[in-house]
Amino acid sequence: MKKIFKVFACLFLFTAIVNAQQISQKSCSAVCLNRTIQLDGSSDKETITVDVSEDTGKMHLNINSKVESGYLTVELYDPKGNKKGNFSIESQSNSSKTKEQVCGQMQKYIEDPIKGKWSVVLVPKKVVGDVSICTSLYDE
Amino acid sequence: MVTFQFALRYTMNKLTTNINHIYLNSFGLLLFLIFINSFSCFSQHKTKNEQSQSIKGKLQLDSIWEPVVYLSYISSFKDMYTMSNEIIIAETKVDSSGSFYFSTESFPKEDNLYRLHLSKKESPAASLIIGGKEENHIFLIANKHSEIFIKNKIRDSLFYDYDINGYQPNTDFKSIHTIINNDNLRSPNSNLKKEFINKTIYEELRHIADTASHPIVSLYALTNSKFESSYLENQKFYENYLDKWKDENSSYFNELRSKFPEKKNSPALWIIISAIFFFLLGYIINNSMNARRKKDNKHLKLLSVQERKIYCLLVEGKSNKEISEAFNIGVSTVKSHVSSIYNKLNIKSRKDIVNVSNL
Repeated sequence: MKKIFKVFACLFLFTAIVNAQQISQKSCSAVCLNRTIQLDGSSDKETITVDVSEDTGKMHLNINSKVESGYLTVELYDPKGNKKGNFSIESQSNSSKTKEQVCGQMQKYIEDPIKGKWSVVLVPKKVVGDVSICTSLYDE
Repeated sequence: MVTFQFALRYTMNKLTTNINHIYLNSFGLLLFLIFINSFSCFSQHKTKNEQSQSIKGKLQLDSIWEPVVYLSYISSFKDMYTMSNEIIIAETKVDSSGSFYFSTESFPKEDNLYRLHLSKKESPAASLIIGGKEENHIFLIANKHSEIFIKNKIRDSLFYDYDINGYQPNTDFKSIHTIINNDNLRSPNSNLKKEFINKTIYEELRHIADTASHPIVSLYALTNSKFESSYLENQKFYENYLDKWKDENSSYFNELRSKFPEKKNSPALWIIISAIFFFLLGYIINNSMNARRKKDNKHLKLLSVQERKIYCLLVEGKSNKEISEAFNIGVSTVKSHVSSIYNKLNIKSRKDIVNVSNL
């Protein structure tokens, strides 16, 4: 009786582990894209696109920026061209002796995002700094 | 005996005078004390009032946050998400109990928009985090006499859930801000539903803008209602809106006014302006024609009757011979008349005659 009970217990544990693994594999079906852009006194507008496919159920976008001098505007547009968020950071320190950092971060967690090309537009004015864009797209 | 009585009366009088003096002095002292006391009470009351003109709050801070609160002045709605060291106007430490305090004594009398934020440890003071549980800022409306109290509700998220009390416009502003920034409120499955919800939200924002009694709250709702795209549809509404707040001269309203096209003049006014223009134009043309005619007449008046007849034929391009035949006179006579015409009109050739006649 005890042996049967042990066998059943082991079987139960085994199926539970297999099931958990399957669920975790399913929930991990995400695409993560990381991009870092260095700006060395640049004033050129730059557009970074994020492709959102039909299967995407959730999108997590994290834009991190750090500026040591200059003025940087970051804008996020959906595929229809509607602005979904923006921010600007400015550092007026131009001397090499004093360093002034300004940080800007934008996080967007969007459920059922519009399918198509989302754009992150960087509009720098003599910017020394960097921008990192981290996108996670989760399947439905 | 008389002397004794006199001395006694003198002494009594003196004593009464002294007593009166003492009473008067005591009364004066009492008045002085009352004055000092009331002054002290008044100044205490004033100090208490001055202390109440503040932005204060109690924050439950996670260990990732530097216990310093920064206050920035936001001069226009488009700068709400702009960060630089230049716009930070004050900073204060958060004490061990989580309390912080800013005096609004140096603020302008008029309401303005401010941003309050904290930075993460090892991050610069000028750091802005938008969205998510780590959002590090809130907006508030304040003036010189505002008393505002802020309290966050959850320890692990700074301003994800917070209360703002004391100055009513802030509660309304916060409600609008929540509607505008909730992306997932607008994320049903179908695109049609999304558009419908967006349209409803924009209409609701316009309704808030129309009914809100506070100018900044009203304007914030309108600015986020995508009014540019619906301007032609609701032109009357926007004209009435601008008329309602015509006395508002804050930078926020001036920014809005610059977005609207200038108010067009009514058609009746255009008709009147056109009529005046054409009347003046007619008057000028008529005057210039009259001046020309007068000039022509002036030229012709210099000529004799015979010369005028010859002048007319010269204008028609007739030769001397043709003119002599027409008037039955000799060619030499014609030449003499022509020469006289040239002298009187101050011209040198037949071509000039045509030019003079065209003047």
